[in-house]
Amino acid sequence: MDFLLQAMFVGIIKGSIYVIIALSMVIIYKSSEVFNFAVGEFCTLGAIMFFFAARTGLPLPLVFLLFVILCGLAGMIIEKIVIQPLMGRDPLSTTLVTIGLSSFLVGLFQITIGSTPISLEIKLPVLMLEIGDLFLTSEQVWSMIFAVLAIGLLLLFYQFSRWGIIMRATAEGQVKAMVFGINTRYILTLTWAIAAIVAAMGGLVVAWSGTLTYNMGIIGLVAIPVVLVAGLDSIGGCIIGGILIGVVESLTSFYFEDATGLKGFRSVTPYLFLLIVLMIRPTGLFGQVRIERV
Amino acid sequence: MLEVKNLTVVYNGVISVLHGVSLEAREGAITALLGGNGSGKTTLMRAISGILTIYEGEIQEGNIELAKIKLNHLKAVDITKKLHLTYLMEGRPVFEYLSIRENLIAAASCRWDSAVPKDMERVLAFFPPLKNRMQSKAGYLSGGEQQMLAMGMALMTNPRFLLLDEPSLGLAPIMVKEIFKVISRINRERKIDILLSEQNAMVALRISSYAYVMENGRVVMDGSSIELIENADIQEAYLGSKDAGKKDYKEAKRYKRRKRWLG
Repeated sequence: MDFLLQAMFVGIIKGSIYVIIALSMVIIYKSSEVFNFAVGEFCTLGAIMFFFAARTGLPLPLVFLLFVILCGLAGMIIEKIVIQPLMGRDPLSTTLVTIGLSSFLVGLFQITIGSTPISLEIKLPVLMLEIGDLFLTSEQVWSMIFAVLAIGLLLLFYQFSRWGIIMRATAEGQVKAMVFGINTRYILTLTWAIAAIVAAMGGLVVAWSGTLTYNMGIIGLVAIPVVLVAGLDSIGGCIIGGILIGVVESLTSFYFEDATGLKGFRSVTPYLFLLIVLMIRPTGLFGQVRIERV
Repeated sequence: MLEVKNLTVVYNGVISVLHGVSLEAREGAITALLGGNGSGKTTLMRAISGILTIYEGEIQEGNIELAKIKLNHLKAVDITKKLHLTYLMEGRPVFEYLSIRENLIAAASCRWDSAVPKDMERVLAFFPPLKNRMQSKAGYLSGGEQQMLAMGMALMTNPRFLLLDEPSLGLAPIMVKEIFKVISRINRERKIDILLSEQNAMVALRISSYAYVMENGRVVMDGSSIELIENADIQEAYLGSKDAGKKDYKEAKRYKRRKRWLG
């Protein structure tokens, strides 16, 4: 049992990254019922943006600011070019387009940064954590802090800011929103910008604790079981689901893989977990409670 | 003043819904639009508010003018934002997962200015029941409260002209009375012109000053509300005349009556 605490913490940290990526998917799904399969590439995009922003040699806070602005802009441009022409069509068409977008972006990344892995270096104070059996590297602690910050800021924005309220209103009914004078087109663009920023933060953490490669967008695939386990449109469920899957994955790698010698089995566990959850609860664990008046 | 002239609307390019509708909603007044299901009231309102295209509808002929500005090809958002005409859809169009406060904020977003908090107080003064439940989700409100909220949201857009689509739909009689009281207060106190579509003819005629009757996509009758209340056809069709029970179903057929009106 000595490893349990360690395994749990590593799992939570890993899970919180999944949460960020899944949240990016959920806000887009909520607003337009489009499943953004390019979310992993949005992550890569974020990491690349940070790489370029860091090259300018600005102080770190400014680099972060530049990174956020660049990612938001990229999200807006992608929405304008790729998504908006399909507005009003079946969400499935747009969903399929995001698959195409994903392969296009992978190609684009390969051209811009090449195929050799790049390591992102961010000069942050060392924050190692060692309590009893628990040992977390500075990077792990920072990615935890970063994840909590990203999730917290997103929730604050989405729940309490005026724009967040308008985004939620638009998500509920575009026609309704339109007759109250809400410019739904603009709000959808904003939604994509926010989703791009959120995914980019996830990508930054991933690239930073590993390396930046053009095809690291694979991580986006793990967001799919998280979102499905959460029930597609639940933000709270997303947070719990993501952490749950992170912990399951980490427990498997700590206990199951060593015991059975099945190396790499952990990358399958999110999907196995999803399978089991969907067999028991086809709507996902936390599908939004539908308000119905009788 | 809102003027609709000879409006023809077609859905999906083939289904003709309005056949040359003309009407006027005068300044400072409540104008009622009566008619049964499928008579074209909602389509007319959609056409005015610019959301017809969403429903695959198209204005084929005719003009819609608000204070001499042509609305035909304007976007719904611009009509609400710049021309201050707000369309309150039928069936209580509130955002169910948002709280009352958030609903009002969302509706006010098109004119976000410093007057919004003050305006919210003013709007809530019309609907006291909402005040105590600002944090509860709109989906959990009663039907009457939802309709109040929807009207409050419409007021938050700061309109000069309101289109109300069947505000009494599915409400208890006592609630209907309450809602209509508020509608006429809004008209008087906030100086908002109102075009009101209703199936509940009696209440609508009582608070309006002029009324149009629609059937099968045409205006078949119009007149001052007092006149219409007295009218025999209206009494028979909408208000339930005293000897209605004796009538044969054949005689009550709609097209016959329409012919009489047109002739």
